[in-house]
Amino acid sequence: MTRAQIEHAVLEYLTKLPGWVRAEARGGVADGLIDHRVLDSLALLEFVTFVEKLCGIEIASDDITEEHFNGVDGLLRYLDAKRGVVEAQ
Amino acid sequence: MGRTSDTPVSVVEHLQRTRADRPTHECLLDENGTWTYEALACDAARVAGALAEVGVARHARVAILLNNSPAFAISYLAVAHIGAIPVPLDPLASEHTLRLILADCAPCAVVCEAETAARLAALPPIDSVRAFFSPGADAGPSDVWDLPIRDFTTALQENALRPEPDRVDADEVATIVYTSGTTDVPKGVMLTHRNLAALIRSGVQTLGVGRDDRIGHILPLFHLYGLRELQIAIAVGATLVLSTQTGFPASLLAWFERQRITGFPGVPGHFALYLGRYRDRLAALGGDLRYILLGTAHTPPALLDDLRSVLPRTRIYKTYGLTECGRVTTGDFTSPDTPASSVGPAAPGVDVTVRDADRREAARGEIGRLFISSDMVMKGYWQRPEDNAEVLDGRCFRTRDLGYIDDHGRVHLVGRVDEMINTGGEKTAPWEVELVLRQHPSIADAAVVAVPDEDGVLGQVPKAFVVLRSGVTLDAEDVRKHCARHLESYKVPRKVSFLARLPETTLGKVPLHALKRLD
Repeated sequence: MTRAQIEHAVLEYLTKLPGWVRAEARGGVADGLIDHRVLDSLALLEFVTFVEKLCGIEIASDDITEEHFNGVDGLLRYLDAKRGVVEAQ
Repeated sequence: MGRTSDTPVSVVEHLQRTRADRPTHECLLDENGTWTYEALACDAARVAGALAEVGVARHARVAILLNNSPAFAISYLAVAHIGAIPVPLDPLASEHTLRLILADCAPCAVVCEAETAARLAALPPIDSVRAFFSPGADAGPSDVWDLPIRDFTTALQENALRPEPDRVDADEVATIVYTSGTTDVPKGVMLTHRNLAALIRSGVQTLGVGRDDRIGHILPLFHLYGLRELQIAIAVGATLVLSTQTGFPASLLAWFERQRITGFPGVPGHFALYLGRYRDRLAALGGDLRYILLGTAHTPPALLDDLRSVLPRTRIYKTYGLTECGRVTTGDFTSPDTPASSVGPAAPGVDVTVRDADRREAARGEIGRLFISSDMVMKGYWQRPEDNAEVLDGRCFRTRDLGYIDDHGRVHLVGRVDEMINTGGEKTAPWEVELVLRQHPSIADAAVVAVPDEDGVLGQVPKAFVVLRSGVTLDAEDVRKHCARHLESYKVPRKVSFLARLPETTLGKVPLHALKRLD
């Protein structure tokens, strides 16, 4: 699965969440998923499970941090590192 | 009734006394900083000076739209310092709700982050607001509704200390806390200094909170259940440990472990989450953690058992309360012999009675409406005389909760009066159907609400929202057949919807109006 496909699938998942529409009106949703309550702690774990299935990886509980999961960019960077993908600069 | 002694009446007077007693003790901290009692009292007094400068006066309302943070505490105490009334609100509430509440409480000033200011700027102005304050110089609008946003940081540097806070009377309004609105529009609950003092006493007596406690705090400070912890900590000289990482349990629990928290109030959903994926981190708190407090929502017996096994040396309490009445019950559920179905006995100083439809007191074990009397019962709803007449009789509050008291004096909750489903004159209590649904081995959780009968004949019919256990399948007809085996036909849900999980408010309650809107 390419980075673009993962990003597409992740955004498709997130934009269907009830918190997204309300949070989107406030701006900056993609880099504040927890801050804007698009994901609360329980929804975050469901999202983690979704990402695990999507990418065929296991995410350690200690990796579920603000750096990796509060924003789409941070998540993609984390997944790149996890999957050993080197992005062309 | 006025003052009778030098006993502190307000949270500010408690702060002054604790500051004099242990000025260098940690009062409040998060990952970004620590405030001693001396520092907190000084900062609050300086911000109070800034508020007074723009005309905020005694009894005026000040809306505080901040997430859990030291800035929230400083703002709350600053408003109280000048005898004004802090109105804590959810900064992420919808624009509709914010507009509704701000118009209702008519604040003269608003304290909020830049992001909230930007949202408010897009709304029509609230005429009563004369000033905006922000706790930091974050990028954002420089003004809202043509009013400049004043930065607290400047106030902290420039304003002189206010020597003494305003003296207040015990029966003056200390704060207005808005109900979460799970069944109705949010109402402003006026709580007096006497109410808050009783709330503090209740926490101290039932949980034994003392000056050496360090309370791990994740509950929203804009709800009374969370605000109480700030009040208690200040009154007894304890430490409140906040976190910027509440959404990330691994970081949060590691922080709490490093901070050696001794008390952890929360809602059952929080602890279910920690027990699921962060079991070891939760267990690691056990060396210092003296108590856990579970409130606001139903606690499954299995969750209590699990907590007992992971935290064998920690006392486990359950509590039931309402914004209008503070804490009503608190029970010690550390022993597995305590019936999990109850919410514990009435808290000290609280009288709980169960009454039938004619307001006659019900016998032990008989279900009826709960009436609460105590010093924690609110002064009334803000500007709602008709609602007040309906629910208040002096210090007695008529709840919408249905329950009974068992032979040991423990209170059991079974549902709410206004949740009753009227199907052609036959009444169904949702809890009864929910109980049957949860007995099905494939069903993890369920909620039942009244929806209009599409044929227009029966008025209302029950609709079930079902959460299945992982890896099982069940269809609507299976659910209805299961109910039909245990319930009268009018109680069997006409409609069944399947959800991944039930929606929750910020305090873990199921918002019934949100369910009714779902397909």
